[in-house]
Amino acid sequence: MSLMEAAGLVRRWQAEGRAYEVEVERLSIAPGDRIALTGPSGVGKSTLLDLLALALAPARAGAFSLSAGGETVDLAALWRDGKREALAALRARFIGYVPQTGGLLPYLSVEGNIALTQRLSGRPDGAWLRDLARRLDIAELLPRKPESLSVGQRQRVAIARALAHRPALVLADEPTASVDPTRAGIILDLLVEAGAAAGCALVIASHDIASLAGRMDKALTPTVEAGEGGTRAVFRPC
Amino acid sequence: MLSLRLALADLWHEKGLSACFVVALAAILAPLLVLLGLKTGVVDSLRAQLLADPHMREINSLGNRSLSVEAVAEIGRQDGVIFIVPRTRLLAATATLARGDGGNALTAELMPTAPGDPLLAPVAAPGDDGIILTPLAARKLGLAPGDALRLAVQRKLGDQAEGKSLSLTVAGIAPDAAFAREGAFVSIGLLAALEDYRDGRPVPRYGWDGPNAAETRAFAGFRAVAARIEDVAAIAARLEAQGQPVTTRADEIETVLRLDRNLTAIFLIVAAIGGAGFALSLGASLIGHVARKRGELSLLRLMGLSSGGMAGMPMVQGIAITAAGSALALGAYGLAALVINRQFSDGLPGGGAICRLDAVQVVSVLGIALAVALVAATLAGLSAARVEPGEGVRHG
Repeated sequence: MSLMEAAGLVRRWQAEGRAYEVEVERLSIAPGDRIALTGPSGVGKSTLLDLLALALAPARAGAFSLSAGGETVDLAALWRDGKREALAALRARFIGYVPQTGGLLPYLSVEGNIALTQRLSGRPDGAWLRDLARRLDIAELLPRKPESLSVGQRQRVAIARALAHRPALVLADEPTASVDPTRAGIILDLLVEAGAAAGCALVIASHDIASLAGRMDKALTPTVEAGEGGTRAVFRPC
Repeated sequence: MLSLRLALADLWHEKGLSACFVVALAAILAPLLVLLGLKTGVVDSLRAQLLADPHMREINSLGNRSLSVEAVAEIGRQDGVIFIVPRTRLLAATATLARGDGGNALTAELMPTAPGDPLLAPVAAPGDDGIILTPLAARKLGLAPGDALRLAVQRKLGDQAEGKSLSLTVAGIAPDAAFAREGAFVSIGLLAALEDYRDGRPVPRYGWDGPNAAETRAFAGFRAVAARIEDVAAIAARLEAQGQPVTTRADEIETVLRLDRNLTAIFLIVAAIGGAGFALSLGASLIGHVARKRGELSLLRLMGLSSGGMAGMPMVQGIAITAAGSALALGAYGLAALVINRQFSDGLPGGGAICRLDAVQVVSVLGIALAVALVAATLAGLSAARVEPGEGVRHG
């Protein structure tokens, strides 16, 4: 059974006088899937990721559902009915998110930042937190504040945080955009490996197809139609 | 609670900025506390001075009239009157007092009293065979409570002058404030008997004869006492309206009460301006804080923090800042009050502190500050709860 199903999922927005539209024609994410979300910059990968993260309301959703924790939730209906709290609770329980740049809270220690998702989901698990920190090679950094960390270290903390509450689905938005290619490879490996250890499905958005190649088992790429008034990107599995 | 922890951790992380908020709040609250303390000190001292003078609450009838016992009792039952005693004609109320052993003697004014007389409290009212001396009379006669005393009264009927005397016991010495001159307090029964004798009426209880016929007892006036100084003017007005001319110290009372009202009004105006400034500055600070933290808040929302938890962050911070600011303001007030009270220690009669607050005032000021802060923080909380998930991640 698939973890997330989406069909005809559309988001529209305006930027600098142009209209943008992102559509997922059809998407099925199975538990443990590793999906690469590729395509040029500015095409709407982040928007799509936010849609999958239940962070953005779709303009239209033919079908949009999440099956996790033994239940199937009609996400399209939740968005239609404006059930923002229910969606927040689903995010806390089932979704992990690795932002482009760390996005760590400066006032919490590394450990406090990682523990955030565990607290928000009500699933504290110190042993798993320390195990993750070890796997990501940040165990010694746990008591430190994010400001004293390098960019790469922060990114690994963000990965640990996204995995700490054992989510069903982890979304990463250009997780290696701010590090050099060598480190990027290491971080992606860590993300994939830790994700496998956590048993979650992984969707990584990146314009860098080469670095994702070989690490992911599915890809989602857009067909872009740029016209007079706007840009439309349709994502299809390939 | 997670948002409580996060909110406090955030405040602690930005100690410098938080300290600015706290100091700004204390800068508004501390002068208000000092102002309220000064108002309280000044007005309370004046009030205490008024209250310390038992004559302040007195309502005395004017001139010599003719009031029945019932009429006096009726006045005593009026709202706000806690004590009343009738009195005889003033001219009839003098007598010669002498030591029981025939020593010193003096002419004293006799005043009526009855049980529960606030003027004599805590000294108990005397019976018909007792007398309470003013301190001056007691000193001149050299008498103490329990000593024997002779009271002599004279009258002139036609060409014939005659007199009677009674043996009384000194039942007590009146407080200093009761009466400053040579005088004595006796029961109204005794005073009425002396008046009857003077007027040439028989006084059977003492076996005194008189040529005039006994008549129904009437009194020339009364001395009443109001429960509170605030009641005096109203009772006096009511009695005047009923055709009872009275004299009171209502003007002096009114001066103090008006000062109290005016100072309170001034304080409220200053407090309203300060409070509005406090609400605006705290509200603006917190909303600005939310705007600045939009990225972080958005991230928390993305990770599934409930909108209640989102709103809780600025609210906890507002309350924490207010609590710390209030504590600082209280400390500053304490220091200022110490300096002011030391500097002006002899500024007020009665020696009371010129700057002081009672617990109720402190709690109310801080309670109002907290309520204002809650309103301001709620606005910030609403703006935090509206932060969308994901709107900040790309900038975070």
